[in-house]
Amino acid sequence: MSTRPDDALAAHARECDECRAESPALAQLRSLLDAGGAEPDAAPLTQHALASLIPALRVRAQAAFWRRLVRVLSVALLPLPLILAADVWLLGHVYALAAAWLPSTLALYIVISYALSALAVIGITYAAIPLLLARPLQTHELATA
Amino acid sequence: MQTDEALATRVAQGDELALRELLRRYERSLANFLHRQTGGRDVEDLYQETWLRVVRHAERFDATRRFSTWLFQIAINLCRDWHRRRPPEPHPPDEEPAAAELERSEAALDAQQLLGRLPEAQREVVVLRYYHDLSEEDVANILGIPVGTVKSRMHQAIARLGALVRSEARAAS
Repeated sequence: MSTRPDDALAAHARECDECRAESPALAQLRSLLDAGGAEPDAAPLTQHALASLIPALRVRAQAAFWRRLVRVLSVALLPLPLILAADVWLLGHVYALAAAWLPSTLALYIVISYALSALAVIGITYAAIPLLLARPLQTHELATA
Repeated sequence: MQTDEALATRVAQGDELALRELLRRYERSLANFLHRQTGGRDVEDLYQETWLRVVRHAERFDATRRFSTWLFQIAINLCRDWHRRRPPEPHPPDEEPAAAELERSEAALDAQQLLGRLPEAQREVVVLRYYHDLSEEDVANILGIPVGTVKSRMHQAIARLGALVRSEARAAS
């Protein structure tokens, strides 16, 4: 009666005495429903849809990026006061030690150089966070370009 | 291979590859579903709008549920809206179609007419059950109704379609 192993009409007829009694009409109905199988070509539909989906997807990607960035930055900023306090404490001790052995100008130069280097490292570390977060998105964009 | 649900989660992060994969997996079934629900009218608009809603609301998608259920729920809702503000039927073209084409379109028209004569609620069940081979449980999930209601709507639809087929056969003889 059907080419499909378990179509909905057959499955229903098995359970329903009333419909099972209408077997010839069901067969005719099935052939009519199957004859209406003219299917739309989905590929052009997808191509057209993609044209409007890509901008919406970019908006979503941007929103997701900013949400992730805020989350990661807020976690990363938590230990910053502790790091700065430790650096200040260390700088004080380094200066005291250097000033005991060297002229105070040279000791100050060493301490300032160290402080600037430490600030640069901390700054670069925090600046790398958005770049690292953006990297997977760029990779996907390149892959689909 | 990633599951549909994992891909939908990636779409929520704006992943284009994931969206393309979902489109590839569902383009045919979704286009056919919309075609049967609307008799082939405004399929392109509805298809586009369905995927737009998927993208816009992807973060609301519950990954513990099936993506296909969610996708068809969106499509069903759009089709219901479409039926509420259904545009007038287009006029038939003036040109005479070729004989083979005419025969094919007549056959297609019969199925479309049959489906078109069903109330919306019954047509949804027939299209999902018969053409998409979905289980009664899946159809119930998509439509948000009990399985018993799916069965009764299927029964009513078959009874109605059977009566139409019989009356057409009587008229033809």
